[in-house]
Amino acid sequence: MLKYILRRLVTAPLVIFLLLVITFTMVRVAPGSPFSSEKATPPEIQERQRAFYHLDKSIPVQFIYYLGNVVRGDLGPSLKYKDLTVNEIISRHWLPSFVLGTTAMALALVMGMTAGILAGLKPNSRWDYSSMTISMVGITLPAFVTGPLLVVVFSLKLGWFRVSGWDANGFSKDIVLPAITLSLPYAARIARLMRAGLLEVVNQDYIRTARAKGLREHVVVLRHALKGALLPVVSFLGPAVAFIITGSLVVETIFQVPGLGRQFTQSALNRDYGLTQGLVVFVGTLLVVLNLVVDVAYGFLDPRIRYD
Amino acid sequence: MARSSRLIAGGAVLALLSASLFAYCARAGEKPKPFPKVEILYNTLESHRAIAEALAQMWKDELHVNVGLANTEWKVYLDKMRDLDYQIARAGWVFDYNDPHNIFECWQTGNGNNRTGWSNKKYDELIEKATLVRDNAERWKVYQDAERLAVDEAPILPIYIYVNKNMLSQKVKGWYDNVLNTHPYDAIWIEEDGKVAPPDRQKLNFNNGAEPQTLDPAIMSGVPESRIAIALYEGLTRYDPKDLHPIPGVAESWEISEDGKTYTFHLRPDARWSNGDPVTASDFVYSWLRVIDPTQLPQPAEYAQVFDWIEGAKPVIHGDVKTCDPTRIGLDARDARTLVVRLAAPCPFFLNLCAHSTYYPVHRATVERHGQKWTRPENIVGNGPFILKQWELSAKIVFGPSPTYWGHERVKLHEITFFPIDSQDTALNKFLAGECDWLDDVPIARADEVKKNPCFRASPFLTIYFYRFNCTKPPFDDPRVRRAFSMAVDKKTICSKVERFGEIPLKGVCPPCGNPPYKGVPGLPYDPEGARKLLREAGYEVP
Repeated sequence: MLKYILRRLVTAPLVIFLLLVITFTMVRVAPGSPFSSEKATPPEIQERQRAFYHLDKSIPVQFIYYLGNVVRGDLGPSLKYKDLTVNEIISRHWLPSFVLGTTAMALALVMGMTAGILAGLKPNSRWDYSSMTISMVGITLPAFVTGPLLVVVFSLKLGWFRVSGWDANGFSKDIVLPAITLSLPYAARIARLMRAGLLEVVNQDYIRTARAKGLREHVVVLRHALKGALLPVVSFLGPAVAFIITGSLVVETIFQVPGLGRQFTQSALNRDYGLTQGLVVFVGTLLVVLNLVVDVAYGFLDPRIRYD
Repeated sequence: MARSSRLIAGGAVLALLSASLFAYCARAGEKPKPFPKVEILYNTLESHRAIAEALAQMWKDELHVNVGLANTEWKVYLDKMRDLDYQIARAGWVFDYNDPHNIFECWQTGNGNNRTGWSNKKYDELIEKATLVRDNAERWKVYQDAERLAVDEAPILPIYIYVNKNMLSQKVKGWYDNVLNTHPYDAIWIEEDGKVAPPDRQKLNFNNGAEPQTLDPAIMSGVPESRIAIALYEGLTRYDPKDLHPIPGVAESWEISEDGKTYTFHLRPDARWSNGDPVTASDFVYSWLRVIDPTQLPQPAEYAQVFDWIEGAKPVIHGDVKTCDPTRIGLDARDARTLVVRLAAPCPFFLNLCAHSTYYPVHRATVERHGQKWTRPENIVGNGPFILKQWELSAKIVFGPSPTYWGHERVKLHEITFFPIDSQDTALNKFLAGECDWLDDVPIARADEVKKNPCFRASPFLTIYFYRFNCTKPPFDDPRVRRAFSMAVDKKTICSKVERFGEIPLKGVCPPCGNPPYKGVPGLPYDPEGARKLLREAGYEVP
């Protein structure tokens, strides 16, 4: 196991390096300039801007400059937000996304697993049908429908929460509506995966063995069935956690959460090369790490999986 | 044609007309050709598409022309405009200052904002001539001559003048509708039950629509930045909030020389930076040179060209002179309180420019000490009525009154909070929930709901919506075709059916602006029959 983890840790920088090469080239090859705007800037001034950010050099030379800085932990300047560096933008935006994401994921796990277990243990019962119907609604309703709906009911009609806002000092009740909106589709998918996983394992030999040796039903379910049934959920969770904690464009826009999701989309639209690259490195690293965590978790959950 | 007398007045146009007449006669024996399929370029936005669809339908119905729509992402659209890689393209222009020159200079040959390829020597000369005329009423006459040329040759298809779509809480007072939609915060106060609210409730929450790209006035260029700039800084002049004429700012008075080329500004003795230092003439010289000389700024200033008017500045800004010799730039701090500015030409709207954010002063010691980090809340020093208290990225920016501002006693607001909300729906909901007191834009999809709200205020905005014709490629290299396309458009229908906030049809190429208000020329009529006739004249078959 340790060897496996080490091997993965060695290949990880290579993956991120490749990711960086591709992003770096693609943002520069894409049509449109970071400095173009509705009002024409004189060509001399645009040239000066390009020179200031080394964009007048060839792409390989630019890349070597950039790589040198990245290795030292400096993601360079933002081309759009002229007073800020990419490091500052990421460091001031990741926390809201992380807090919102983990809250939403916890909520999704609690709701999804409860519904999934209830449905999976009593297939084709009333529980099963109702929870699966609700989860279907959860999957199909996009956040840009649920979000504004929640705002209309809970902010405009009832006045329980602010329409938008975020408390920089951490948790506040501002998190409730965005977290619910963000969690719903995830909860729905987890419920369905959980149910499918349970249905698959309850007919397996090792469950019959557990029952045969006279274990009580809740022990069979919690200790044996659940462990096996969690596999599909866990493999879904790896990338899902990475996406959810790096921010959702739609939810962040509706509730104006100062998170990374909007930065990602906006930076690409603004051709803010520095910020796009920086975010790709950041999110890429996170994905690589979380995938590793998932693979390791597999080994603990399913004794058949061995890494040598 | 009713306009023929005017056409004769313009020699160039006459030559062009006779040339086309000749071409027409030469082609008289030829069979008319079918009109090629044309494509409208616009950038992705629901309302742009609605207008493009309306135009395509009008051209199809009236001229029997096949029109396709090309929806393009913003940055790609900008590239296509710059490279003249389009046939007809949607466009807009937000005025930088309240003077017709701001739009007229765009259509001069080679201007970066022309982007139509249109070039008319007579027009160029008229615009140059106008900058030498000091009396505005006289200057307007020159612009009218130029506007007639632009209308007749139709490099652009003017559509409408925007309206400000403000939602303003009724407790906010001292706020006036104006064509730049600029609202000095030192004039605003909060009223409760018909009385001035106590200081702790003098709070204004405003949705600025975006995170500012910078707080350094030298390099800022957008509307959200300028809304912040008028709180933090003050120029030699500022705008009167009601009619936007330049009024004394840091300068309490000024004299203009006989030839209109030398301005002597007298600075207020009590003008102070937020750290208590006096604001001096050399502060302005330093700040302006910082924009003019490309080696001084950490980042190039996008709006540096607004300093082209200063004597000796233009060649430095545009790189014709490699090193900037400050003694050759027309700026002279005669003493701490006297600034003499020499202009390259008598720019008749120079006092308006002095109220523009690029002309704001910065505090030299602060800039030199902190470099690029000088705009951080802990470092920033300004000379405006407010100071920066807090800046939470993507969440809010908070200002409080500056105790050192010379007009401090006039300032009633105790706190201003700017939200950078980029979702118009969220912003409107926030207003309806009372979390925000002022929005400067509303979602068009909720027009009916908004218009019923007593807080909604629509007023003309000095911004125009128009289409560019690519004058360098057939079929739009022929002015008759451009005129025909313009005359087949019913602007009133677009304003009432597609846009729904009372947008005003734009007749000529310039909306009313300046002091006294510039009145444009009539523009091309809505005349589908005449349009078809023009197309036939140009050699195209029209059923």
